[in-house]
Amino acid sequence: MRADDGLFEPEGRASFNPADFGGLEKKEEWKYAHLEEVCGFAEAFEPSNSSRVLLNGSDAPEGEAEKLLTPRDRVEAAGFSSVGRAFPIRMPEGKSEIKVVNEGPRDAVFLSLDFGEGGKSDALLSFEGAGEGVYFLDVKAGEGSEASLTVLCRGGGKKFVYDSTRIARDAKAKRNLVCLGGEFVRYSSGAYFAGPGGEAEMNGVYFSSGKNYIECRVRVAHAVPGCKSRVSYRGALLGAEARSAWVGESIIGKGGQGSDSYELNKNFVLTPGAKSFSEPQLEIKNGDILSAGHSSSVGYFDPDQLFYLRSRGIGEEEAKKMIISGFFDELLLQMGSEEAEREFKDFCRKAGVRDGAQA
Amino acid sequence: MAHKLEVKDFKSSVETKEGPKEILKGVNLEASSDEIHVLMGPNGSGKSTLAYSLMAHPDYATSGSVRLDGTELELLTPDERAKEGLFLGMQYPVEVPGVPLANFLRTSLKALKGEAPSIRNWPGILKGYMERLKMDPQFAFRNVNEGFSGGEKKRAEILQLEVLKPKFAILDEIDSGLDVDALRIVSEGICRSHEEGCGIILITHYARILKYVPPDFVHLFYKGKIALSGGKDLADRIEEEGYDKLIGSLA
Repeated sequence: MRADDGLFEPEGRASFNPADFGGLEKKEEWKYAHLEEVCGFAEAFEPSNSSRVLLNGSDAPEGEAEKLLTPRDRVEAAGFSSVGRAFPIRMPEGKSEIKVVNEGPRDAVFLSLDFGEGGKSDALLSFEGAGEGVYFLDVKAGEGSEASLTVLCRGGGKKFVYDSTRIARDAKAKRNLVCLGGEFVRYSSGAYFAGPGGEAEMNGVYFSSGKNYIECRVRVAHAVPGCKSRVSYRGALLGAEARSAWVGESIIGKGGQGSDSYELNKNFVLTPGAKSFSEPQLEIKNGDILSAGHSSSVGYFDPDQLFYLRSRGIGEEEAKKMIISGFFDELLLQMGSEEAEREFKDFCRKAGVRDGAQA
Repeated sequence: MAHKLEVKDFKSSVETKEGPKEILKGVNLEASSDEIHVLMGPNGSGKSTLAYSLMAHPDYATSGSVRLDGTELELLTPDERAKEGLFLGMQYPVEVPGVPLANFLRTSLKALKGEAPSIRNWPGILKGYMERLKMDPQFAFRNVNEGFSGGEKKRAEILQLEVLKPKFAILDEIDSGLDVDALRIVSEGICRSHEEGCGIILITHYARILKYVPPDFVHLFYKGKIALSGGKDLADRIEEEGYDKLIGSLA
């Protein structure tokens, strides 16, 4: 077990041994994914060690790193026991870029990113390549730091990502996710506060097209007083067989007095038949909080919005593109990452749901 | 040359649980763009249905004929009707999240005129229009109608009218929810458009806007039809006698 487990999930099931979780069942962690998509990841495997990990263009050195939290599901435990290489990276101040590229067979890699204390850093991390894998990402925002990390999840291949952010006293962590798929992506992001006065801003956009499946799980734990979290995720589904799931958990523990939390998820179903699940959860064990709320929706085009734009001469296709762009643009702006914005907008253009001219 | 709008035997129905329900029962109206027509009528008489049906809102199934300068609009989509020069000012303008008003209007201009004003000149041009309507120029950067007050939404409708310069505008209760000052500003915008050659069909409940937008024709709308037409004096009669009495005297 790990020292921080109590800050993240005091009561949940946690173990480094996959067998402790029993078999995979179509409930809880696995209720939205098709079991046949995940069952091949239920056991430990021999990693290919084929992933390249690049920091600002050069191979990052391997090393020793201790995982922040104990695994909380079977695939996480099996994946972590398969990890072949760990990459502890002390993030430099200012801008930096990390790439994790796997073009080979199944891999399991652990990255531990330390943003240090007091500094201000802004990093971009992308998962790329056609290879499949289970990836672990620990992010440490030290006392008084401002740590911003944007993750681009793209390329083919099944991917499981287990991402945890530890936010120390008075630190601000901004975590952006742009998830464009591969056939199957399950991205778990956890954030927890290790000292009072911390702030977590977690933004995500995802786009599931064709027969792809994207599952985003976001969990924020307030076990210490006076912290603030904002979770804002938006997704779109294109194609009758596209699927997505979003599960947001906001947990305010007994020690979380003065907590302020809000989580939002909106999904835009562009093609009838596509399936999108959205499940916000709020658990409050402390009566003395500032505020806690959530909002969640899955919707289609609003006929009145379309009519309004069309009544001003804008054709149906263009009106739809405007509405889709409008759905994402404010969140992309809020992310404040040029790369994330460009990546997402380019993807939408290639999918034919955004105009080239509107950059 | 003045434009001409001809509505003939125009019927419209909505789908309900009990099947289609006919709301417009054969509307006939001829209007020239150098005239201001006012439609008044009690709640539920079908005035808004007429406005939305003329613009081909998907909720309504229509029949009959709507011609603008001789072109039949009846089978055209809303955007095609807009391109022919028809405009609908809505009672409840729709919010479009994430789409700034300035971008929306520029896209609309491009769709209607085939050419958009240059990105460099556009903010200045739009600001000029907004100043005349005493709109805060910051509204150009806000999302279409999102978080606008009732009065701001109506000004934004008139802003669109003035920028897009249609041949004919149907304005559905553009005066409802406006305070005296806003009413005057909105009315001035309507009159400016009219002076520039836009035909006006104004749907209203209240005679007070007619002080600022003097009508050439007033039509009493009742049970899905124009029941009576007259001049400004008809509006005065409606204001004095009320719909019930006036309609009673027709029977």
